[in-house]
Amino acid sequence: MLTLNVKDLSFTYAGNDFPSLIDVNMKVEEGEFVLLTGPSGCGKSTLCKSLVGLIPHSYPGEMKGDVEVYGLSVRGRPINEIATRVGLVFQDPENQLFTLSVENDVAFGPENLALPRDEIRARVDWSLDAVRIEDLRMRAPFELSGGQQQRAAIASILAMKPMVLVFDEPTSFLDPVSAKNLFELINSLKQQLRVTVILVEHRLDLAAVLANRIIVFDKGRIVLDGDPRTVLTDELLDKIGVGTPIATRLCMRLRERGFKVNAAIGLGEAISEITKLLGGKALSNNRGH
Amino acid sequence: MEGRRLATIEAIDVHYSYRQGVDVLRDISLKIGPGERIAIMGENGAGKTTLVKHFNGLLKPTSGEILVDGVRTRDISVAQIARKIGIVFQKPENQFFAETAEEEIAFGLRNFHFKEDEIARKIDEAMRFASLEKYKGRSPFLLSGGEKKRLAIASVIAWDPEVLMIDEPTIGQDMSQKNRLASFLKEVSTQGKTVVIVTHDVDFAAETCERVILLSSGLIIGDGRIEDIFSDVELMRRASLLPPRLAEVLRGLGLSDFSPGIFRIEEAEKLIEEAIAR
Amino acid sequence: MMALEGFKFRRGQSFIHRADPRMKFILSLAFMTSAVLIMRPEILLSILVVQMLILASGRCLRDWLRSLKGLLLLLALIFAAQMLVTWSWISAITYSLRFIVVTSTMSWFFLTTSPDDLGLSLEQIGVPSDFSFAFTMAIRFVPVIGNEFQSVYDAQRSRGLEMEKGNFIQRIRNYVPIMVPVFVDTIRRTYEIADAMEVRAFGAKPKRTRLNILVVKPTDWALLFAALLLFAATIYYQFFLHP
Repeated sequence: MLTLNVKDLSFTYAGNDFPSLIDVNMKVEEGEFVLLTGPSGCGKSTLCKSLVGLIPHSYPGEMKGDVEVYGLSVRGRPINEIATRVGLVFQDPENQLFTLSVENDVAFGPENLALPRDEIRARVDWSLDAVRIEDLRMRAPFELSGGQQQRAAIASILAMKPMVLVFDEPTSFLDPVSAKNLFELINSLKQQLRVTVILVEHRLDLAAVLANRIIVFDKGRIVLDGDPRTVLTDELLDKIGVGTPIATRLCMRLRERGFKVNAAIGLGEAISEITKLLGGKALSNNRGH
Repeated sequence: MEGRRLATIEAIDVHYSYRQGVDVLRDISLKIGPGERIAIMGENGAGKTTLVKHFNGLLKPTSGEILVDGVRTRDISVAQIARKIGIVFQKPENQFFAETAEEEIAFGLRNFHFKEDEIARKIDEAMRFASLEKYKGRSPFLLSGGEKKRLAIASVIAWDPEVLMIDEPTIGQDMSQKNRLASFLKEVSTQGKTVVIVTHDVDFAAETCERVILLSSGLIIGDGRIEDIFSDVELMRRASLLPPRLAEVLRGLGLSDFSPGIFRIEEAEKLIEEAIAR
Repeated sequence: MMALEGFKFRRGQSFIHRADPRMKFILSLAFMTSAVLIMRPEILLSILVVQMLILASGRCLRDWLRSLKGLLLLLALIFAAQMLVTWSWISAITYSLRFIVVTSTMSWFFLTTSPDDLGLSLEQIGVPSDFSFAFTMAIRFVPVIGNEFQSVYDAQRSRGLEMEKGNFIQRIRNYVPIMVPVFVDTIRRTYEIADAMEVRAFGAKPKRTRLNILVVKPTDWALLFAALLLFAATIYYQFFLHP
């Protein structure tokens, strides 16, 4: 059974003249790490909302096609049912935390499911530990930094024990170092928990190394879908305004000049690929990305 | 411009705390001269936005002085300073209130007592500059994210300040929007204006600015040319910044000694080819 | 704004912080009832002293004093109004004291009670969880909206808006560029918050279970007893001793 099956999905928000998603077909297997990207306004956020049922249940509009999560139709089931299978972390950490302590926020989801107290406590402990913010348990969300808030938000979603984690540009409001740390966290969560991850991001340089598949959207449609190396070297990326990551582009240019380099994903690979050209004689120790 | 002397900004031993014991800025001393292109960088919470708010008088130092053209910000109003130093804050949505994009731009012009016929002309200029002519009568709330950003900048450019400061210009922008913003800023700079951006996008700063001021925990830990500061690995780490990607690659290849200030991909490529040839 | 400092929750470990919010509420109600019914300045003064002791035990005396500074204008108005109406010092002092006691009662209640606990106590006495939750959230987002207000204010001042200039009409109009963005932001925020709540299965079950619930301790019963005693004493005094 497919984890996610997006079938001929089209959606136009009520009041809009043109659709935000057009004939989207996407099959995701369990355990994949999919990076979703595209220029601003391409429909990435709309797709995220469709994966969890906010569309069509919270956002009125015209919807064609459907999304199936482990066989369950998103159109046909209420959001609170989908929410135990698909978790969604939004861009703005501030609006995802509602109470005055991280503990209460992480407990919020399980409380809504009316789980027994012991179960709630167990899930809260487990989530805080998975995201490594046990020390922030009693802190108020508005006291925390952006990166800490996002971790708390992730913990509150993990407490729902979803099998799919969707992240909609989670690092938008974070500085680069916090962004890097968050990606590392997402990666380690993926390894630890064996979930399926859909990560929507602009910051391809940092995020591309983590994915086993990249899907590119443009104007509501999927225009590229494949393994990272194939997608990142496609010239369409520049044309639609996404931009090939610098490390990859450097390798591609050297390749055009006749050098034998593979297109690299991420700094580490770029360095090792180009080092080969130098006959392996890098002058100082290779600091990976 | 009519031969106005371009604005200089000076900070002298500025300390700022908004509550007992919480020092947001400490020992800040710097000088910004006309025509410079400066990036103010540092981790979130380092005090970057707080510093920028001092430049137009929104905040006054707890001790020390900020001088704009030799006049203390304590002695003049924010409006007077804003006429010379235009600041575009992070969220354009935080300032939109008018019915049309046109009216948004007129707001600043009216506040600064421009004459009505001048206002119409300035609006046209600003909208053309920001490629927003077709949105003149459109509600600012209906514009896309990138267009909102451009409108916010246009509404500041319209009154022709000598200094343009933008807080986090690249947040949430895709590559093509960033490129457009970079050429926009270069254009503004060629007009003789001073450009100051607060950002943590190192590559964007490398492309648009020549000087960078690094803040960490309220202190200036670096102030100099981009090439020098960005190649100081330790300094960058202290400021919680990732070095420019190309610089990292070149460092990993052992070529960093040959490459201070290499931020353009063509130069990096050339350097690598030369290294291979050796 | 300074006046509000006396009502913003501050974390603490004191007895009054850890007391059950429901009992605290009844106790503060008892104090307020006494203040309203009893008109003797000496008694009001002693109630005030007790309030200040409570504030001191919760280490929030300074916060309350700061808020009093902010309310000084209102206090002076009350004093002056009473003087004009009754030409009696005693009366004016009594009314002013009453005002201070009532505000100090509300003050220690809000300073020492977490909004989360407030929402929880509402829920536990039977208020539908939607309402109690909305209550907690409103409080949690007050500082956020406050920041938003400040950001908008800064942005518009940076565009040359001068709030203090102009006649009365102009000054009112000056608020439009501030109110509209704050309003729009708040509306947008509520949509985002609603989305975040939905993906956390809000509304999945009619009755939520709670991780932390309020459990009444022996000391809380003591507080309740003290409150009831105070009520009784007030009634007795008012209706039997000095009708």
